[in-house]
Amino acid sequence: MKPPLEHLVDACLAQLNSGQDLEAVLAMHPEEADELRPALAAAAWVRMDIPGPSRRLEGKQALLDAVVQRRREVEVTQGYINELKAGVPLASMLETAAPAMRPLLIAAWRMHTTEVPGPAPERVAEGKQLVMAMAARKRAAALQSRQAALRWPARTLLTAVANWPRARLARRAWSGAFSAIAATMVLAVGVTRVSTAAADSLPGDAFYQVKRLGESAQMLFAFDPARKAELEVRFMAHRKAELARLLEPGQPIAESAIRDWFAGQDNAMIEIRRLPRASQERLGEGLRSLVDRGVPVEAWVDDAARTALRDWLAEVAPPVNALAVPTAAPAASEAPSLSVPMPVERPLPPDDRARSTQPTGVEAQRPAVVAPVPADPNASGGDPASAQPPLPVDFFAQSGSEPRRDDDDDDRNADRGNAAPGAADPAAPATATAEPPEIIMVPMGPTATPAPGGGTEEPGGGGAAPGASEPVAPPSQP
Amino acid sequence: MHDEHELIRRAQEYDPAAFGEIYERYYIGVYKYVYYRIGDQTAAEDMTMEVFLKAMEAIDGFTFRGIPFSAWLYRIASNLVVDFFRRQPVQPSLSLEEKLVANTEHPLHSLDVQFSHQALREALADLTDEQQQVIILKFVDGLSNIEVAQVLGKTEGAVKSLQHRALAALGRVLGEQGEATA
Repeated sequence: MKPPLEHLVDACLAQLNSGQDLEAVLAMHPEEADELRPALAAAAWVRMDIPGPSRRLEGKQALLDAVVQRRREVEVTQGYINELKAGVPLASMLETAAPAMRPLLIAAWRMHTTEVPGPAPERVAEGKQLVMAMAARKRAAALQSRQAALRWPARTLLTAVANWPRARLARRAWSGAFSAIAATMVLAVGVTRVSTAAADSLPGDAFYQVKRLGESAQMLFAFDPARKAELEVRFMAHRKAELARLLEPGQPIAESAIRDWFAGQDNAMIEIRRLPRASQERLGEGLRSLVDRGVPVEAWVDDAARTALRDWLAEVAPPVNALAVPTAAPAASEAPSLSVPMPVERPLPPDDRARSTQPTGVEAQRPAVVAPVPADPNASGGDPASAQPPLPVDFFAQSGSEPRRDDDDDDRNADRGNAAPGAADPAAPATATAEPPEIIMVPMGPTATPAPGGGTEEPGGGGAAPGASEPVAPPSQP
Repeated sequence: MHDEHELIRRAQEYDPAAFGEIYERYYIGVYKYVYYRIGDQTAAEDMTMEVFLKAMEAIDGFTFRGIPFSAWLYRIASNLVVDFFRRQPVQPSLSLEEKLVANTEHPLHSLDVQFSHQALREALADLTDEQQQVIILKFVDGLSNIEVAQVLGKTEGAVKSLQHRALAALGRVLGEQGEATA
């Protein structure tokens, strides 16, 4: 009579625990082997998973040996690196190195000897000038802030003394104001939602004017000069961030955005030089096309920045055909036309061409935009830019002599010394002229690198900056 | 060290000359670090400039707590690099040969140098972020183990170990590259 299967399993497990092999145990019970195999295999696996004390000790020792070995390798690596930096030839080190260390040694040698392409010297010098100029600006702002801080305590004290008799009256008014606060809060929720939508808007967007109105309101209620200066810097950063986004490939550039941005800058060239090179070139192309059209670009900057702007434009967007020799000297009767550049016709995309020639009432008020198109080096014959006549060397002087197309520009620039950057009249027309919108083809550069750090001024957030619009800040110190 | 303390004190008062000196003293190191991390000269120039502008904006909050100023600059650069890659659109990766053909940035460089450099960049990209940093800081910028540890916020021993693993991984990748091109 065969024993019950449960008893057989118990017996086999005892045999396994005594150290016998699974197959040997199963061989003792050939008839029940198929039934016993799954249970005994599971038992054997569990037994292997929980090793006995001796095996645990073996494992521990193996681990310690591996740690010692790794530590030795780390020290050997460090020794080789020290030798490498001391100038010991690679060949002599390879002779003594263990085979396993050789790839590592070669990798270290290649890292040590491979040349890094250096930065362009003019970019290094330019960066130094920029950093020093920004420091001077910050120093002036800090000085202004300190002076304001000295003035304000006395002023605050005087205001409190003057208002003291009215304090009781104010307490009575408070109860009436309480109900108004509730209504204001409801209104505030709505305003907040609109503000949120407006925060990321760009010139030409529906909510952009809301954004600018909000900034104007902040400036209006900033009485402290230090606060005003802080807001100026912040709004300047907003304009710069907007411009950086507008200068991304494929994004049309609104002329009004560039104009507003220039008008809001004390020294626009400093900010322009901070843009990535590819963006600078796109901006240069856009500006040059505006100059071609007779837009008074030179009036957007002050005298000091005008020369810098001219130099920069010549650097990033040199005149097309500037080196070409004219085939025929202009006739005397044609000379005056050079001093008043006329709008130049540019080829338009098919879908935009019809719209441009027949503007609707709404479109007639929209800003002119500069739309990027991929550069085609092989299409010089059909390249709209190459069809332009060569520009005179001093085109600013030339275009400055023409009649202004927008009288507002004079007032805006005359007052700019006191006007807050970014707080330009939000109701001002978006275009310098009442012309229908025009699309100007701007060749795109081969690369367009987005501004690191989100193109913003304010530090904060560190490497955890979540998105492109977020600033990257210096890390906090440990 | 006192010289650096004095320099930073002047910079914290926004002395333009102090910033000019800081710029000259640390520019090349930061540039090399950024260049190896992103592999594009123009973008590296832009980003290096941005590092110094960010440093200027935040220099008020800098105090010496046993960490050199250069380590602070490298951390700013590291953050900007991270942000740079976050903002980069996903692009189809080019093979090494395609990159060599496409890269016309340094026409004066010989093909050997270009190849060597591109191959290293390619190999480095296979390493972890920390491994890349330790290799670049050690070999490209020539920092000591202690300085690298200060930049990365690790112990000197951890940096040694990381360096060993990074070089081993780099050697493996370069070996695979060599086999692939052979």
